[in-house]
Parts: sequence; C-alpha cells; structure tokens
Amino acid sequence: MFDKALKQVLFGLLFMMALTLAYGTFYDRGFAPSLAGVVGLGDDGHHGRHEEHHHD
Amino acid sequence: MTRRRMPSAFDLLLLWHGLFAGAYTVAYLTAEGAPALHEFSGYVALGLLALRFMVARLAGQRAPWALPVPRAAMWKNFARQLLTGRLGALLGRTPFAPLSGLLILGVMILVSLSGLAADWWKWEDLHEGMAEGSLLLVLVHIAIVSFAPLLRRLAAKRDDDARLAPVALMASGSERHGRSPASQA
Repeated sequence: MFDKALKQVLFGLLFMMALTLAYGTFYDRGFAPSLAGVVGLGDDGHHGRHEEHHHD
Repeated sequence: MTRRRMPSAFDLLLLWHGLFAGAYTVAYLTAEGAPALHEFSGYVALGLLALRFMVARLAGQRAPWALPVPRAAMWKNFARQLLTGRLGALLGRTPFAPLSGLLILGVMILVSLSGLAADWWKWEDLHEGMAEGSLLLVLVHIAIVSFAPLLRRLAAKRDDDARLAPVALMASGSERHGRSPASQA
C-alpha cells in the first residue's frame, strides 16, 4: 500500500509540475522562467528588472 | 484479450492524494519566486479539496471517501487494548490515523482559503505562517507513514520469534540430553 501511495504521489508531483509548467509557458513568462519557478528557483522577474535598472 | 479492471474507489482516492500532494509541493516551491505559478497551483489544490469534500458528502459514511473521523468505538477499543497491556495495538490501525488525516485536511483548507484571501486582501503573512505550519504537519505525516511499515515488520518478526521460542527451547533441551525432538515423539 505504501509503495502504491508513493508511486501516486510521484506521479501527482510530476503531473502537477508539467501542468504548472504548461500554464507558465503559455500564460505567464515563458518556458525557462516557468521551469525555474516550478523547481523552486524562480526569481519573480527581479533579475530582469535589476538589469533594466542597471542599464538606465 | 485481457481486460483492464476499473479503478476501485481506493485507487481513485490514492490518485487524488497524489495529485493534491503534487499541487501542494508545486505551490510551496513557487511561493517565493513565481507568484503566477503559485496562484495556479494553489487554485488547483483548492479545487482538489473542494472535489474531496463534495465526494465525501456524496459517499456519506462509505469508505474510503468518507471523511476520516475517528469513531468513539475505535477510541474505546484502542484504550481497552492499551490498558490491558497489549502494546501491539499501537502498531495496527490506531484512531490516530484518521485523526491525523482529518487534521491535515483541516489545515490544508485553512492554508488554501487564506491563500485565496491573500489574493484579494493583504493577508500574505497569515497565509505564509499557515503554510509553514502545514509543512511541519506534512513532514510528520510523511515520517509516520514511512516508519509504520518498518515498525509492523519488526512487530511481525518479534511475534515469529516469540512463537518459535518454545520449539527452539525444546530442541536445545533435547540436544543437551542426547535425544532429538523427533525421537521423543
């Protein structure tokens, strides 16, 4: 039972990551920032904003 | 031709559990750096919770979709076993299992609803605090379900040892007297 539940949790995690990545790719900031966001490395667009500010 | 069997209600509940765990994890991972993705996964988690409660309402008292409410009879039976010194009751299905399930469901509702409220008003701190608290609860849940099979295996081994101990004692006693257990029979 434990193994079955663990498999379902891993499936659910991968499915939700894929679904959220698809949402982010088509409706938010594109593939790469969404991929970074889904794995917990998102920067909320701060990096781009910082660069823009720096060039000004 | 082999025919695939229909998934049982329990299989569907495990699927729901997996999807909710996935939505919760993605919502947690996206909380700091990807607000749009955090909102998306949060709404999915809220939808899954709504689905769980709707199906529980339709299922009524029928397992496994009924809400995990520990019954009074379960507590009484559990207490009676403990009071008579049968500590093995701790290794079986205890009333703490449905209680922890209910607690997690309740906390997840509060976390999701506070997230929904934070979407409309400035309730981010409340939502963040609740989410951190819920993570602790989830980690305890993972620890319990991970160690339970190990504890059960240890208990089964102890029971086997206890059952075989008289046989082993008899065999060693017979060897000491130069007779085999078979010759005694």
